[in-house]
Amino acid sequence: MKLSKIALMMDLSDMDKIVLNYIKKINENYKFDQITLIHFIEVENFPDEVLKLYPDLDEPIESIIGDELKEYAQEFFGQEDVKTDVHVHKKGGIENLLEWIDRENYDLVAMGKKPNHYGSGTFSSKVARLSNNNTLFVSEIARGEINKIMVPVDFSSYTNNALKIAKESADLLGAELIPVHAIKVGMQYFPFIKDKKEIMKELEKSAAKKYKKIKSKLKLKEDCVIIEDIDQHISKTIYDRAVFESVDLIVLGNKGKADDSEFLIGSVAERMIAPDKNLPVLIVKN
Amino acid sequence: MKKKYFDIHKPVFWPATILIVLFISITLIVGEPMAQVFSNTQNAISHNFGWLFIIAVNLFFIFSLVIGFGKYGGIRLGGEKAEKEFSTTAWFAMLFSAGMGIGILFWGVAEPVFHYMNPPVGEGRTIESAQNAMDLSFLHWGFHAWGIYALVGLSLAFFAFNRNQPLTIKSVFLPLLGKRVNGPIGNVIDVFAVLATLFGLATSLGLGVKQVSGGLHHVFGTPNTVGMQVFLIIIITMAATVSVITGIKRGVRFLSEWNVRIAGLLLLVVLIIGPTLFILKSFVQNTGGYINSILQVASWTEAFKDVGWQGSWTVFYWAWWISWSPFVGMFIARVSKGRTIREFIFGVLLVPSLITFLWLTAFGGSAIWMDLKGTADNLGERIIADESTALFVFFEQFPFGSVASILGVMLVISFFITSSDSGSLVIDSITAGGKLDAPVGQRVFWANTEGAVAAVLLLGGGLTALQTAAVTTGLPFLIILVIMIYSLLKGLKSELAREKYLSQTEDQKSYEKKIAGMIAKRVSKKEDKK
Repeated sequence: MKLSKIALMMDLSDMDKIVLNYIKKINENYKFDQITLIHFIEVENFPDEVLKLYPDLDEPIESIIGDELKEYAQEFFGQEDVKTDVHVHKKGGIENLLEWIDRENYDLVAMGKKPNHYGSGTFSSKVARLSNNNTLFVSEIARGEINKIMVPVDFSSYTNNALKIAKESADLLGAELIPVHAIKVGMQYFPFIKDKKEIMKELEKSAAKKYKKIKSKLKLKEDCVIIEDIDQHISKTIYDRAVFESVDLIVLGNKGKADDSEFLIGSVAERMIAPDKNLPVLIVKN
Repeated sequence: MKKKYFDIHKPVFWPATILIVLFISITLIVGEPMAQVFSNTQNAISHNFGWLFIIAVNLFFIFSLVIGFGKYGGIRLGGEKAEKEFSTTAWFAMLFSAGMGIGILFWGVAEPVFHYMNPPVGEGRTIESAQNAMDLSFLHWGFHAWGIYALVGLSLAFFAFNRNQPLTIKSVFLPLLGKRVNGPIGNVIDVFAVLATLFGLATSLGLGVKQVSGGLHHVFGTPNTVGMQVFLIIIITMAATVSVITGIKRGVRFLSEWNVRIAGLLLLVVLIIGPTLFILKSFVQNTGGYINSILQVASWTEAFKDVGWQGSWTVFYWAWWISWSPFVGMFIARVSKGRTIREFIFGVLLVPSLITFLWLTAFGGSAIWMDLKGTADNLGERIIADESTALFVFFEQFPFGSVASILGVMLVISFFITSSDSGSLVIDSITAGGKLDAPVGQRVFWANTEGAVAAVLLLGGGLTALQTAAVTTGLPFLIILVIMIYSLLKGLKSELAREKYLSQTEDQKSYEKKIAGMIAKRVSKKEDKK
């Protein structure tokens, strides 16, 4: 299931260039079939004050935005062998946009993510939660040079899909794949604690056993790195590890083992795309 | 593109059709011994799975209460901004007409009198057995029945209006199956829905035609035989076909409006000419008695002394309602857009139940009262001698009784036609993949199939065969409904979470500024070119 039909969310800010550059770079190896530049008009009507500034506009704002996007497409992908088009979405709010994206069967929705920028993330956080598509968050520091891909593995039903996509990217981009599994020695063992090390060893053993199954099923070469979680949220442990290994992309499943349908995305995914994190993240949906 | 003559969803239409044709031919070929097969099947299912029906139906009822009055109650069908399509009065009227049907005409007198004459425990024809009879009849027609419809109707409405899925049963399984809903599993679910609806409908039609035949026999002395019944099915199905061809806007609508009016008139006649004070008093008492005994009657499984009573009554009813549920569910889903879940549950559980209670009290209760008073010789025996003539024996006690009887026969015929017509619409829309405007020829096909199945069932074993059909198709569909609970719950949970995120607003001012900046850039670029 190669990713081939890509949607790029353009918000007409400086982040657009970063996203375009990133995708352009990946496309050198990935050879996408189609790239669509999408802009979502967030207001229902432009207020008169804005329109009055330009009395001699001879076309509606939608088509001006469309022209701008076409220029982007030309600039970044004009020389490449890939089909590009643009879509300016106006009607029906964000739900309607997401339905449209679902219907068009995109394999990946990519968008920019600004760190520490209050209020700018509402749109992308909605897309991440409400869309049924794989979503890629391109952070400001990302340049599309991908050498290491980390996949947090928790053996839930989402893990396999995340690993599959990560493996495909690693193969195509010539990157190293690093599956990690974080073990949390929970407080529930406390009254019965024999020895913390002993419990760790048991948990490690059972994780290794489970990973072996997936490994042979997906024909992976890499072994799983097992890390111990020390009393903080598991996402922090994983993220720190990723920074330590200078990973270029984190690929993870939409939800983890413990996540109920009450959450639209899992707690780890949620924290990975939080504004205080800087690495590009790909959330794989089922 | 819309096809002109034939627009079906093949993976649902053909398996369903083939199974039905297979069923009809086997019944006709085997002939006489088939009656025994039907009876054995029904006994086996209600003997072995009776408890499952009892527990599941209780679960459905409790689930709808929890959903309606818990934290999901505020979710609006069709989204936050959805508007109601019908006024509350009109909505109540439509719920009421969905609940009214051939069944209540057929059993309205017969069932309470049956339980009163032959109670499952204790002695018959006593005050106690009269009260018990009302409790049991209310159980079979009351909140539990509407709990099933509420579950199916709510699930369908939620996934159709809040998730933009087609209005078919498989859509309900979206949270569990994802895109696979449109694959083989979804089709299997829809095939079951079609079979359940068709056999549930055929059961009603079969009962209806038995009653028409019984009524004609009672008033005009025509023969009351299976041959006559089959003949009547053919005639009435032809009338239904005409109604199908004239379309839903005219035929069905006209008839169903008049159904409710005539039924209301009959109820009023019984209420006024009959023992008025008794009916009003016992309506209150029976409702209270039912609510008081609901835990006991609803969880009774004949565990200590199995006399097979429950199999032919409670389990049959539960299975019948379950097999009806796609039909009624789709109808109430269709008219409930814009209601909150709380309104929906409240309306669906309460309004039709109360009206049904009044009907049962006025008809069955009055008959019991007359028998206790001894106003007519052997009234009880004559009513239970043949359930299809029970209503007409009851009408005999009234002045101009035969006028009421003829009115009753006409009402049953008219209910038959509307059920057949709207049932065909439902089955047709499932087998066409959720479309509501499929070519009319297909609906005619389904209307005729329903008639054929009802006729074949009557030929192959009468009432038992009808009940078996409902019970057998009800069982697999019961499993589907249990899974439906889980699926709906998942959907509702994510709906609450979605609402939370959707309500966050964007920073509009900064967006406008961004766009204005972009336009400025482009305008100046354009001028440079000039």
